[in-house]
Amino acid sequence: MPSTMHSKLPGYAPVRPGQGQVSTDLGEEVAILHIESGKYFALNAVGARVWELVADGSTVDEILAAMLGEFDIDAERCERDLTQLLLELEERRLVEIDRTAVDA
Amino acid sequence: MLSASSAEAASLPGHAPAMPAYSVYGLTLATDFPIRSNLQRSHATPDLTFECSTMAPMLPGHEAARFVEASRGRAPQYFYLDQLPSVDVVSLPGAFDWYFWPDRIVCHLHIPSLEERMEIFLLGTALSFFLERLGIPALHASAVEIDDEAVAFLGTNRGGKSTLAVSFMQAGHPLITDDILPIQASGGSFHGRTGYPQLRLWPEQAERLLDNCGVLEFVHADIRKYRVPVGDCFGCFAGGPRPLRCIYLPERRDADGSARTVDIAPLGPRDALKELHAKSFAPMLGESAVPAGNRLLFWGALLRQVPVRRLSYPSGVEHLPAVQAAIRADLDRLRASERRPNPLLAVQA
Repeated sequence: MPSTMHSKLPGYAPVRPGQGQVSTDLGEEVAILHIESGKYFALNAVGARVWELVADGSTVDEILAAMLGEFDIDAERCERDLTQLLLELEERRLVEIDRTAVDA
Repeated sequence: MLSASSAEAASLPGHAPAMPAYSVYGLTLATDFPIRSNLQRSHATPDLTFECSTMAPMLPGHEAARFVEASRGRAPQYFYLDQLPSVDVVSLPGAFDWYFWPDRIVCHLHIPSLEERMEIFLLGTALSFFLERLGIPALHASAVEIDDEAVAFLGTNRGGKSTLAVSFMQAGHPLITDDILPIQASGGSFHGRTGYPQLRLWPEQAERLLDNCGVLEFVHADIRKYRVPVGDCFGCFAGGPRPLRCIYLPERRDADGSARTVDIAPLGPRDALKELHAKSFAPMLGESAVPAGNRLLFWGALLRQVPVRRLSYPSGVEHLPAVQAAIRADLDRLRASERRPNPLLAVQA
C-alpha cells in the first residue's frame, strides 16, 4: 500500500477534473481545453491513464496504486512524478484536489 | 444585385417562393442574389435564404452592437461577433455586417463595390459559420472521392491541396470540395459534405493542369485565381456526402537535389489535433459560434476514427502520378488493416 502522505499531497484527497475544462480521448493520449484561457494541453499515454483515474474521482493514493500496478516503474519516482503532474494540473485549474476530504 | 429592402422587410422571416435555390455544402440555399460561382441548382426545400441589403435589419431591443474580436491572421480581416438572443451578427468593420438566423442570412453591405467580395465571403466564412452553428465544423481542405469515400487534403502553405484534387480528377475521381470541407458526424461515422462544383486555380496551375483555360474568369480583381467550373469542361462532381477515409497534410518539397520519394507517415494524435484545430475554417469565429470545447470533442471523436497522415512529396507536376500511386497504396493499406481479422476472435471461434 502506498504511503498516505506524499510530499505535498494528502493521499486520501480525491482528485476530480476541473469545472472549467473539456477533455477528449485521442486514443493513447488525451487533449484538454481550459475554457477560460482557451489553452490546450495534451497528456501522453501515461498521463492519459492518470486522467482516466482522475475522471473516476480516484484519490491520490488510488491513482498511485494503479500506476504502480500497471507500469514498470520505481515507486519513489512514480510518486514524485505523479505528485508533480497533479500539482501542475491543479495550478492550471484542470483538476481539483480536495484536501478537505476526511481520511478514511 | 443589392436589394434596397426596407428594414422591416429585411427582418421578416421566410423567403419568396420563386427564389432560385442552390446546393452548397449539403445545404439548400435560396437567394435572389446573382451568384457568379458555379453552384448547382436545387429543387429541394431550402434550408436557408440569403439576401443582401443596403440597410441593416431591425433588431428589437438591440441598441448597439457589443462585438468581440473573433478572428486571427492577416489584418485587416478582423471579424467581430455579437451574439444576440435570436441572431448572431458578424461584422467586418467598414465593409459589411452579417446577420445569422437559424434559417436565414442577411448581409448588410456598406460599400456596393464590395459585392463580389461579399459572394466570396458568403461561400466561405459565412456559410462555414452557419454550418458550425449546426454542429458541422469545416476544415480548410480539398477532397476527392476515391472508391466511394472522401479523401481530404488539408490546406497548408505550399501544400497544393487543389493541385492534388485536380490530379485525382484527371484520373476520373469526382471532386467533393476545393476549399472548404464541412464534416458531418452521423451514425457514429464522419462524412465529408460536397462543396460546389468549382475549383479556384492560379493561372500557372490552370495552364499546367488543364487543357484549355482560355475562357476562364478570375475569381476577383484582387484574387488572381481562375474560377474553373467542374462538370461541363473539366472533371466531375461528387453526388453527395461520402464517409471520410483519410486526411492528408500535404507538404511539397523542392525537387532539386533532395530525395524524390513520396513519403506518407501517420501523425500522432496530438499533432493531428493541432493541425485540425489550425486548419479549421475561420477558426476563432467558428469556435465563437458554439459552446467552448465543442470543437475539441468533435475533433477528438473524428481522430479516433479517421487517420491523419503527413504527405511529403517533391514539387513538380511530373511527380503527381507517383503521389497518386503512393496515396492509393496507403489507402489500400488502411483498408486492409481494417479488414484484418482480430486474432483473439479467431481463437474464440
